[in-house]
Amino acid sequence: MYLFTRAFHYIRKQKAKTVLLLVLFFVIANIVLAGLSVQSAAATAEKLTRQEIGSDITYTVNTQQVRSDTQKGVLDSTVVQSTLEGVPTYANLLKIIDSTYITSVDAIATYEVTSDVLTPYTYVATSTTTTNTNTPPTDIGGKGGFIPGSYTSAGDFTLKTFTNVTPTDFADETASITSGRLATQAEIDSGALVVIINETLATDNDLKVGDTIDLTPTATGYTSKVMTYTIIGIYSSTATIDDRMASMVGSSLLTQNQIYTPFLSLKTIGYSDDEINSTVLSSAVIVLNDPADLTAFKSEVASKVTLTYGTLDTNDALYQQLAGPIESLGSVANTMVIIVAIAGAAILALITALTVNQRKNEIGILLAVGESKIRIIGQFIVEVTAIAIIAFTLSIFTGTYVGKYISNVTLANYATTTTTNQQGIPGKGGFQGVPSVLTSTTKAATVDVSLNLILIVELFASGLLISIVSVAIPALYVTRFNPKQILINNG
Amino acid sequence: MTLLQLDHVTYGYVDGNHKRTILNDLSYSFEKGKFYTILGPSGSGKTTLLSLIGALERTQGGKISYEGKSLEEIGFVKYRRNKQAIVFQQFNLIPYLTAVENIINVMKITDNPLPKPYRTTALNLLDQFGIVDTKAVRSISQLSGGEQQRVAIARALATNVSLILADEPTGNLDTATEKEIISIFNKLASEYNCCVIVVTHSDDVAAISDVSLRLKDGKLVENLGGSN
Repeated sequence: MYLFTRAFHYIRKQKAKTVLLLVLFFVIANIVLAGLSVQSAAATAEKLTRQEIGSDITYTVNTQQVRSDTQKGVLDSTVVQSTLEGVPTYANLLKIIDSTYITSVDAIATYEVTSDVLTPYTYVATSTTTTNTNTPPTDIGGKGGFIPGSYTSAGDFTLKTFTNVTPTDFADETASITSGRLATQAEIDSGALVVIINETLATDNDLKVGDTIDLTPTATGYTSKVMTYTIIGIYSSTATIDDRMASMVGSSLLTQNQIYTPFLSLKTIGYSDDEINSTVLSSAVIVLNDPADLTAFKSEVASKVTLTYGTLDTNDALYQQLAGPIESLGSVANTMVIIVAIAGAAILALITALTVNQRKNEIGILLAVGESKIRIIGQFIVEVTAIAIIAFTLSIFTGTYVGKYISNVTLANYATTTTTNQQGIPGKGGFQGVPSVLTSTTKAATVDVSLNLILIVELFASGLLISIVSVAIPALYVTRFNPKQILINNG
Repeated sequence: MTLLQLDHVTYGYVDGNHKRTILNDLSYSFEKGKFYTILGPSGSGKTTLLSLIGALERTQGGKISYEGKSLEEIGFVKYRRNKQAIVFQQFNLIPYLTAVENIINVMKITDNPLPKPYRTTALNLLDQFGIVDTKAVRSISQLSGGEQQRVAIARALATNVSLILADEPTGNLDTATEKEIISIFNKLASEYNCCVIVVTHSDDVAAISDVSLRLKDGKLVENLGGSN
């Protein structure tokens, strides 16, 4: 394969052409590498943004649909909530979570309790804010009418259930343990009568971890009786609510009076399996293994439960808002790579074509001594590719800077998006009667333009492709050459 | 022993509205170990005949056979690679390779078995034609016309072929160098048992050839004035 030697000698002797090609390839390589690295970084940033937003899916009652159908007369205002198709009953949740996409699930139901021995925290107007993010307790038995916004407090405290070892509020860091611990899996599975209480409630009632408290659940259809719960943890909360709202809600809705307990404690206090299965959850938070499985999971759910009056919130709108500019950047980078690759190949093809014309005599000589046309074309490809490799290798040191510049300029106006949700955190109950004013700031993942092995392989593959394409067209010209015409005319 | 056989070879081209026949039912046998010269006026078809024998072009009629096999059977590229070598008036060496690299290049291209290492073989061959090592590693452009032609002849011999063709090989050389080059061709036939066919205008060259041929009316006729 002397063609490699010939190619090497040609490159060495034809310095001007070599430098011209090198500069051209270097420019192409920088833009291609910048494009590829921005493309890759944008893809990673999209993924990270999805992770930042979370792969949480919140399963709640579709209150909008319920209200609409109630207003239209499709639904009777006294309809039993648990009978509505697709609402987040515990039974529906069990159907949905029978999936390989899921990593954890938290069933959140709330019901009120009274106590003869505990003094609830009461709101005192101050200039500062007091805390609350609660939605009113739902009628866990699902036996009452469902009239959104018509809640009337029936107890002093709210029991909020969980089925995950890290309840959603603790996973979200809205609440955090200050003393004691969270419930164990065994306590959750057995429905142990254990509770985690707010630090204000603990202080006001001189309670500590290990103490027991007597509470009387007041759920519809439940025969009230005093149950004894053991305090296993004390928590603090960061949720906020303004004074106006705090003064409007009943004491059971204040975070200070919110008590966490395992969902299956309902069974322990006397609920039958049927009653538990028909319990309407205020929400269920489902966490997927991979955010990329969202669409597949939703399809799977659709085949199991018809969500007429239930909804799965996946924060799609927020994702689109945050990831939109990044997707645009990736798209721009993709277009950039394609355009530069085509333009580069065209320019190189032109240069090679001109060169081939100048090298007619050499081609004629090689054909006369029996060299195949394929090998002659091979030599041209080797010459261009060798220069491309040098240029592309050099571009590794500069291409990422170009990529960073492009991504910084493009994303300058989009780096951070602040979302203000005037109606509460999506999927956290969505109760219309008590709008909680919460502000959440979610940041899109930054586009980190950097090199990796895959990018380098892609870069060199692009270089090889451009080299081959740029030589292929002039090569067709070579195949038409007749050695006699070249050599005899030259003579 | 017949090495190359031309049977009823015809070739022509259209010149304006006229069809011009260059080679007309030409038949001839070339033998190994002989030095042939082909004379003829300009435009008589000498170079065309040489390019047909060298498989740089195809005949329009008739057949050319090498050792009993037609060029089509052998394959034009294989024939050019392994059976013949051409020396041109313009030398036609690859300009960006040195003298020795030009030799190695054809040694690498041919399928014929050749003594290795190629570089040593090539240097020895060049040395036989008066191109010493110091000149052998020079760029082609640094060699004189005579030296370049010697390199071209060495290249023709490097692939160990039996058929050497030359188109006006001394056309660009002075008289002294011309004699030197022609004596080399003579030697190739007599000592290397090659069949050497040289197209020339020179009666002096024809005079020392074994067989002097003249292309007349599209046919080859032997010159009675030749040395044969």
